[in-house]
Amino acid sequence: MIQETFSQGHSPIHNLTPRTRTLAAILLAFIIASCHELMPLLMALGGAIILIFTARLNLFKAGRRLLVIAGFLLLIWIVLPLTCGGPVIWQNSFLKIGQTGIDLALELTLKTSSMLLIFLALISTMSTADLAHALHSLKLPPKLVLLLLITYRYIFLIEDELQTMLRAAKIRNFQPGTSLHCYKTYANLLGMLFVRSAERAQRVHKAMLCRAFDGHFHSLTEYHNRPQDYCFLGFILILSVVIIIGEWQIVTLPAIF
Amino acid sequence: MHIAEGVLSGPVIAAGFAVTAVGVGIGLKKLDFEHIAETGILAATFFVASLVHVPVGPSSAHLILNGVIGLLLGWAAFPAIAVALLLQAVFFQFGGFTTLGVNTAIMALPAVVCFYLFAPLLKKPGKIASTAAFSCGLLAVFLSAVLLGGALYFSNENFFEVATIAISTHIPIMIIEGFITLFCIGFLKKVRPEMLP
Repeated sequence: MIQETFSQGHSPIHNLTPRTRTLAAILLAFIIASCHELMPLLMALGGAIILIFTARLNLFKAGRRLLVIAGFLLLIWIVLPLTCGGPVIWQNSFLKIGQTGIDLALELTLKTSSMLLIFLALISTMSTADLAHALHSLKLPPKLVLLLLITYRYIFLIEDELQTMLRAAKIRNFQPGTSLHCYKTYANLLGMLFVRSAERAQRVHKAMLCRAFDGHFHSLTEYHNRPQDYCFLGFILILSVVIIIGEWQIVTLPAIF
Repeated sequence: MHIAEGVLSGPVIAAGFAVTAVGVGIGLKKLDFEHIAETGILAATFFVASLVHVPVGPSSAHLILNGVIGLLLGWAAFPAIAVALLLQAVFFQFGGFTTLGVNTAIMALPAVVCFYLFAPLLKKPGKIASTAAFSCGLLAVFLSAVLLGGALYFSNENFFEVATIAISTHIPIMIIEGFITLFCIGFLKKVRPEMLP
């Protein structure tokens, strides 16, 4: 089942307007993406963890989301140290582990996990409808926002339809396996899903016309920036500046790093 | 098929956004209000279809279907795929804001290329149409895998081996997508020929 696990809740982050959160998440993501040094990346991870705690997310569920990137990180930790060269840390007759690969793998791990945590704390804590309106107010093309809202609206219904069809196939003793028959069954099932979706789309379009749809979706909740929004944006700006200073090493860093 | 946040370098991210901005721009321009509901619902179907795992030997792979989406939507595949990927980021944290441009380009560019290459052939009788449908599914995933590998390699030359692994794991998926596209298009041709270009 598709669920918006974190979108409901009570926390200082949930109280911010979607626009503030979206802006902060986009800003931090692009700044972190352009960092390479250890110090700013550690600060970014620290900031991400603070945000996760401020959003009062269920830590177990949030941790499970980190598993999404675990497979990829495992791959780079295996491949990069063996292939990147650099000063040799450890070797036997056929394997050499180089410093460059370890540094790169560490950099990627810090970057990927801090970016994921920030996304989780700031974006997953709002409903997709709110995100769409935030993106609209950040000047994304209205048609694209409309498309996002329609897609979001129908994902759940279509997933339901897919489950119904898979259940029907199972009841008729369909067992998935590596065979042409299996792929053909899946293809027909998906073809049927496309047909039903197209039919549904025609009904939806007519229903929208009947309700005088003119290309605008109106949000039921109005959001206005409050003092805490400005405070939060201030905090994010300071964090960004600190990260950038760390990256450019404008200030000489303490010897521990 | 998507690249995680934090892996790509600045220039690759910028290039991805440039390609996606142009593609989405053209796609939205060709998309009138008559078809916006249809495109949205097909984007939702694309999202849901990517949750289907098909068995491949002892393991399983999830479907990509960008070939089918390209055939059904043409240039509108760009906005549809962009929206579906944004929703994947929101629901499952697959990718995020910075990689949205590159990930959309990886999936949608092959979809549009396949649309132009194979859409005219689908009306031909029998074998030609089947071959076209199979090649469409296969080529769309192949091009996506190559773009994915390229995005990794141009981000950091040390990713060469990782990129090679990423491309080679997609080889069985290419063949499966070929068959799925072949059967799926065959089904649509029988049941709803007006949906095809």
